Amino acid sequence: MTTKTISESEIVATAIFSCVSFLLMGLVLILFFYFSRKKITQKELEKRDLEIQYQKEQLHAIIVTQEEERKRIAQDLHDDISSKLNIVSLNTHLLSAPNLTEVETKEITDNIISLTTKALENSRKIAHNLLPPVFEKFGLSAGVEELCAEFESSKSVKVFYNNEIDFDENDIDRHLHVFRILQEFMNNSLRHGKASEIKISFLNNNGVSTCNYEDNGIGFDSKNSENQKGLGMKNIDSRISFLNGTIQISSEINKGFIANFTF
Amino acid sequence: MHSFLINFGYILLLLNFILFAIKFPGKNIAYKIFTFYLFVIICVQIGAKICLLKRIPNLFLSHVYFIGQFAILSLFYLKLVRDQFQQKVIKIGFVLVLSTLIIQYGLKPEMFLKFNLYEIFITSFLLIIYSVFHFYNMLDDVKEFYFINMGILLYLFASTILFLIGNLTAKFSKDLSMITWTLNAFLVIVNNLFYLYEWKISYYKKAITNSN
Repeated sequence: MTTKTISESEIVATAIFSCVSFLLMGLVLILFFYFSRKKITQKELEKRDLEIQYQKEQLHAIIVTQEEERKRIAQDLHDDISSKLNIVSLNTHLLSAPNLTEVETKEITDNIISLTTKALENSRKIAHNLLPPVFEKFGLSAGVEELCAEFESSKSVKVFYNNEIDFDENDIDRHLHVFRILQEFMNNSLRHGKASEIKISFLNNNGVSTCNYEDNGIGFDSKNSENQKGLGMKNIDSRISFLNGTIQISSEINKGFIANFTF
Repeated sequence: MHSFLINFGYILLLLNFILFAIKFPGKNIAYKIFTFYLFVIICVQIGAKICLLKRIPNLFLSHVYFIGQFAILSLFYLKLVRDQFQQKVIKIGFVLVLSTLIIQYGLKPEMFLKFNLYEIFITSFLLIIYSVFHFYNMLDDVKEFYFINMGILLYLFASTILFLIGNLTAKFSKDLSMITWTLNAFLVIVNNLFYLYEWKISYYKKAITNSN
């Protein structure tokens, strides 16, 4: 066998190739690291943008609701109280006119009394609508019961209410959200759903308070996202997120409306 | 020790090929290309063994190995990456490497009987880049061929150096040169264990849930 000698050029070539390949592999790793970081940062930014967008929408919904509520209260005050007090004021001026007969005075006084009674009743109704005193004094269950009774007496709808939970009075702030959600649902059932029967029940599911709501109205297509963008639904979503709960809504056209939420 | 490691590597390779071939029907193109890659590697190994038995120098098979591996894995990554730029890089690299190698061997046919440093370097290096492309794409995507990619990257990193010094080790005494090739055999085993793990994670369990 011939002795094998390694030529210098071969060693140098090997060394150079090894060196260059290590260098380039290192470069590849550095570039990988650089672009990965860029990509991850970008994803995080996108996520944050989405969150901000969502928060903005919620804020917008809150502001719009607030304005609507103010408008409604202003209208109520104007229509039901100011107008009546106006007439009362007119009548009192009449009363101060000279030469009134006894009959006239009595007529005017009766008028004033009836108008103030009405104004008083209306102001109580407005205050009651804003925050039902029964809810404040006796808690959620009584509040919902009264709400149901009100709906039954004033509108042509049957309401079945069933409660299996003993509500803690200290949680009244949270319960107000539940109450508002139910109020919104019931208003929707009547106004949009034309329902004639509503079922509400509070259940305790393994320590999680759950509310089931059902009506037999005309329903809507819950898969259509257009139906979930209304102000009312946005408000309900906000309230649910305040409560750290979850909500499931299912409805089909002509099949009524069902909602379950936890709180 | 040395022959045991090498044979164990072969057995693992054969096992991987069989396992991947069993689940062959109904898989995507990348999976089929990878299975074909395993098949080609087995052919190269069998060819090398035959040459060894017939006492023919089998170093020319290294070119089949490097070029074949490069060509098949290029197609594999071409099917995996979806980014336009990356696909373009893979296509250009494919044409460039093959044409330069054809020119090189046309001009110097005697290169065929030695380790070709340029060939080893360029084919391994481009595959490393493609593998990194795939890792980059998997950062925010589903992990497809995750462990296979890991195995390929690890093996290429280490084996490239071993092959680059191949011409030198060929002139070492047999005992010494065996050390580097034992190391390579160990790397082959690690690589194949990655393939095997990928098969177990991605395809074995799916087959069970499908049959239920």
